Amino acid sequence: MNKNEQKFLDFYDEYVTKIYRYVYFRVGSEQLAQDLASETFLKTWQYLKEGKPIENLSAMTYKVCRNVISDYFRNSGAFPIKLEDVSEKNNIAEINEDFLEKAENSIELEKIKNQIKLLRLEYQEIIIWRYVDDFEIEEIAQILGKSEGAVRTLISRAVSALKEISGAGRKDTTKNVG
Amino acid sequence: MSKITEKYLIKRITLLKGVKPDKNWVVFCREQLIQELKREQEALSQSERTKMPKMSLAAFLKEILAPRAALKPAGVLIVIFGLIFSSSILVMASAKNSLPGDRLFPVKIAIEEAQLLVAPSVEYKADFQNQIVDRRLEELDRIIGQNGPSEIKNTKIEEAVANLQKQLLTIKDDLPQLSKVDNKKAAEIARKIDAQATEVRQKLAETKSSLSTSGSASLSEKISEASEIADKTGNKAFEVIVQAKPDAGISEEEILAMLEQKIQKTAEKIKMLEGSVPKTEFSINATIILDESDKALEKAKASLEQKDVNAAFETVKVANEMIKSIEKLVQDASVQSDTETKPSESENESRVTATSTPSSAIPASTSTSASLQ
Repeated sequence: MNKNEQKFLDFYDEYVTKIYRYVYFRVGSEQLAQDLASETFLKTWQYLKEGKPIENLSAMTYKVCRNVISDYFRNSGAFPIKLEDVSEKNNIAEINEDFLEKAENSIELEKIKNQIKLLRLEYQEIIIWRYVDDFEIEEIAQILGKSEGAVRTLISRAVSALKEISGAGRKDTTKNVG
Repeated sequence: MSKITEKYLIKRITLLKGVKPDKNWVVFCREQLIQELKREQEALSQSERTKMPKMSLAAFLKEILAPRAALKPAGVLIVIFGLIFSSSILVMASAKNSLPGDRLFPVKIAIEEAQLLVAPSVEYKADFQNQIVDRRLEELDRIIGQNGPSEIKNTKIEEAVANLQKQLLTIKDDLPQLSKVDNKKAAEIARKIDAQATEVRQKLAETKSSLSTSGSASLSEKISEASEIADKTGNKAFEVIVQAKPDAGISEEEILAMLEQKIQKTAEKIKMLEGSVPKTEFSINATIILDESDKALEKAKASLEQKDVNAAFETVKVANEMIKSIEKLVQDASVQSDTETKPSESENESRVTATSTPSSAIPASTSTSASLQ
């Protein structure tokens, strides 16, 4: 195996969970998330083979991923799944906690998922990338093709929107589930 | 009411880090990538040689029958002549009656896949796929009815269930192709698929309960997986029926009746779950989710009364997901209890209980970008 191939595998090791999670929240199915995540990595590799210069591999991979998901929804005629349909079966990390804490976390997980799904798609994405996948602002900017300032603004708005939803009232928030 | 701070909100969001892929899939996917990389490497270094990779008979048939339409008739001839001259009619007849684990079973599968590849129409293909599911069910029945050591039998059952699941997945993935036929036919086909998915689910539930003492945890899990696929296939088929309804001559009453049946089946599942495990043995988590699933079902019934098909259907799906969570929790608790009551089962036994802290399957890397030169 040559250097580039090994580098790609290292990249896979680092990003497989993040890509899977992103797909999972978008499509709501473990099996489908696995298929589409696999396809993302394969397509990314195919793109790399073409020898075009790539500034940021993770940003490119997310772009490929979003296209893979869009293609799936377009070709299958399926409707994008909201987070409410996401099953947490088999996916909750095994945590060394007692039963009560586990139950509380499980309910909290369900609540926050339901609240996030009420946000528009770009807010959902940015919250997941920033606070779940721990992406830097720069990285998110590259994925979205925006400036860092614009990303910071987006994050701030997304968090405010989520705060409102989590608070006493709920505002109508435009959802872009495309 | 106290103001929600950003810090608290972010803390809650980070709970989502708990969503992770199945470790086996991560490894499997990585292996697939490596195979892809190796395949390309071989193709590059041996560009003059045409190397026939090792592949199963089924994959070989797919290879020669799948591609351009112009080659299809030739491909079909190759298959027909190959099968005729390489095996006697007796062999093919034996293959037809073979079961998972038998030497000729791969031939049976290969013949089925070949027939699917040359299916002349979407309707024919769908009909044949239904027949294949019937065959998989029949094979499962025959294996269950066999005598012999339970370990061997369970292995065969596991394989039979895996084959059934694979076929259901194929049907589910092919459902979008029904958009190519007229709505009436599409609805008819989807109806059969939905009914068959219900039958499969029932059969799997019977199999699971009949194996409750002799079956392994792995087999039980495989059966649960297959049941889930059966559910999803049935749900997707129902969606096709609802979409096709306007032109398919299906009345609203029929749709509501089908939905009512789904709600009833879900209620039966909940009842069965409650009956099979004493409430005192339910964990707090399972009890909470059980209550929520009851509420969801009530909500579905209310939506049905208001003739809101979409809302009722979505809520039933949510209720079913909750039931699966409970089943998993109950199963995990049962496995854990078995482990605790049998501490020295085997010298090599090294079961990890559900309370262990996982280590990340993938080592963290500090680089966030990787550009290849």
